[in-house]
Amino acid sequence: MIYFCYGVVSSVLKSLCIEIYTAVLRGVLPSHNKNIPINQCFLKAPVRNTWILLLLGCGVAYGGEPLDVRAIVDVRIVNTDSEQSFVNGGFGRTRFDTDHDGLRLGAVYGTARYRVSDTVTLNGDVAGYADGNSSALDVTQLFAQWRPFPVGPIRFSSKIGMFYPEFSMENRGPAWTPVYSVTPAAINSWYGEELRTLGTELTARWLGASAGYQGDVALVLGAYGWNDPLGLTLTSHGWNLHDRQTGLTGHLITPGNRWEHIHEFREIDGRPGFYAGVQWRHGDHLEVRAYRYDNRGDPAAFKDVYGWLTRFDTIGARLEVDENWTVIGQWLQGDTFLGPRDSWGIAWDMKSWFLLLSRQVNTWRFSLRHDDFNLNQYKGAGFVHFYDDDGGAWTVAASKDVGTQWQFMAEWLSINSRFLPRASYTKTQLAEQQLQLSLRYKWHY
Amino acid sequence: MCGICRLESRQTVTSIGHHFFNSVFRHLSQSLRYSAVTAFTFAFSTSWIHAAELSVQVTDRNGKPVEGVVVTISDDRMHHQGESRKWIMDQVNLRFVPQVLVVPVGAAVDFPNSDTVSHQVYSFSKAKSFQLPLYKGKLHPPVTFEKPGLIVLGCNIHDEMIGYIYVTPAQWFGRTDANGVFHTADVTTDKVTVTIWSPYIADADKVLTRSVDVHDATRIDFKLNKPLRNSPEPRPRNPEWDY
Repeated sequence: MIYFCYGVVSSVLKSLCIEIYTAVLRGVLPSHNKNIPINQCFLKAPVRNTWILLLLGCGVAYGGEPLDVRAIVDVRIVNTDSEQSFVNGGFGRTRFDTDHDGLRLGAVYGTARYRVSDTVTLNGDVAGYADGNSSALDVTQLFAQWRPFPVGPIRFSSKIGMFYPEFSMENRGPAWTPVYSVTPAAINSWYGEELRTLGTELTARWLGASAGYQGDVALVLGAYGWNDPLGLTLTSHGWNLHDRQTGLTGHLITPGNRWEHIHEFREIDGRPGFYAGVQWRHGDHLEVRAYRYDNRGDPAAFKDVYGWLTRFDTIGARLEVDENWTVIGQWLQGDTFLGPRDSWGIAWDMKSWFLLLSRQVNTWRFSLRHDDFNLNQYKGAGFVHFYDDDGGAWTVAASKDVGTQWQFMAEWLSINSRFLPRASYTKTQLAEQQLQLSLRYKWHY
Repeated sequence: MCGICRLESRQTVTSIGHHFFNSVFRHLSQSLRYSAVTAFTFAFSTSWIHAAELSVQVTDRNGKPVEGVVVTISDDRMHHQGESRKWIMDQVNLRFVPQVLVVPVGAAVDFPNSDTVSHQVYSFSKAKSFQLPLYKGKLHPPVTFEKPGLIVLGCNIHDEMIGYIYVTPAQWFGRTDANGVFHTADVTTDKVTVTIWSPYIADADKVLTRSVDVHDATRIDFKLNKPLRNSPEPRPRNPEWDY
């Protein structure tokens, strides 16, 4: 454990030193990439590293009652027949490919929650994947939450900062990790890649217990900026299945390096987006969440990349059938636009759903999931259906908890997809399989 | 030091003789008084007032016993006897344990948190409104419930956590066991009001209260007409999830 902490801290320090060194050499603020000026990123690199150091510093220096710090180290043995992964600039839909498998660092997650007062908490998550697409640890969530004591049947709460809207029914673990399998479903993988609220969310929750009902109903409203490239990676490489979350300053490479690096969390058109939703919880047995999401992007706005107008509806439900069986389903349907609508602008319909069945047997959990995904490029100057994506996936996972700190998880993932842009690089129709044996150590302070 | 006349041991030898006789006399008279009271109480309780047995059974509309139902047996003519025992509403695996706690009016209830995560307990019920700022372990002093009524407990961090404290002025109270039965053997009055309550019972209040003459019945059956609310006992949860 000490070695791990030392390793994490030293790698962060090292990356900070490199940033400062580069900055001094250049005499300007450091920039990772040539294509996108750093001033269009939400946070500049030194600021990013300061955040990370602050988070870690909190954990090391204070501890005790107001602070809850958790870390997960996930080491994996991976075997895959996948094409060059999207992580490495290819069209492969899994995180690992034939050149990057064997013994791998699955992930390092850190999550800290600091209670400033009885009703205000500061929350921060960091994630590291050691794949060269972000610094050693990058911030995936960082927000303040205000949750006053209810004085009547309606309780208001609010979040401000960078955080995931509560769209996923799978990612219930610390640092937004999925708990039923190593790899989340295609919808949630996409959220991890591109979607984040950089803004604020307000929730009004009717607490049913006050009226004898064991459940509650909430109305949620979110407003945000810096999510204008939403849709770019999805349409560039289709629906992926992976557990990699893009950090605040991390970037992804589009296939074929058309855009060398994509910084996801950028403001391009100066127009805030919104989402509105309803959550319903019935005892411990059923939870349903339905949302409308619209980033209100201007598809004609351009700052190195175009703004994307992405709108979708999503419904997720989790049914706890009995003590052991869990059924989860999520469905998403919407569209995304790129470029001027009146001329060459391109438009896609996007659709995906999954159904997951999970059973707990003592300390074992077995899960089976089927994903279905589709992109339909119905508009484009002179060409349509060139960027279509159609496919599905099966995931089988088994996990075993050993005590409270160790977890073993095995997962087999099989993806079948048909994606036309892949034709010039590899095959249009592709079947990929990936086996992962993951060993996780969880630390809680 | 003498417990009766409060004579300090450092007082002079001359006063000790006086103290000795005085003290023997007083000790003697006090013990006589105690034995008289004891004899009177014994006679009163054994022969003059009969302690009756009373069983209350709750079954659903299919005749299946209902466990965990609050049963109170009261006689308005009698005074409520305060109890000095400790009442505990624990928090284990993101649950209130027990989910329903019945206490007499004036009871002081401890709210320890046995979880590894912090909780923030509140109630905005009319009978008692209170807040316990964020804590783990046993941090806050007990909360006293002075008024009868139902107190719905919540945790401001975990909305799924719901607990109930049923504060009653009744002389006899408890919850039904696995056979749906609450039994008491020391009902020392003749006419009582029997009331049952559970968060899962959907029947109207008038069905749930009954006046009973203890001489006529030793067993009271409540058969529910409406199906139980579809929320059985809460499931154990993984404290690492949605924490």
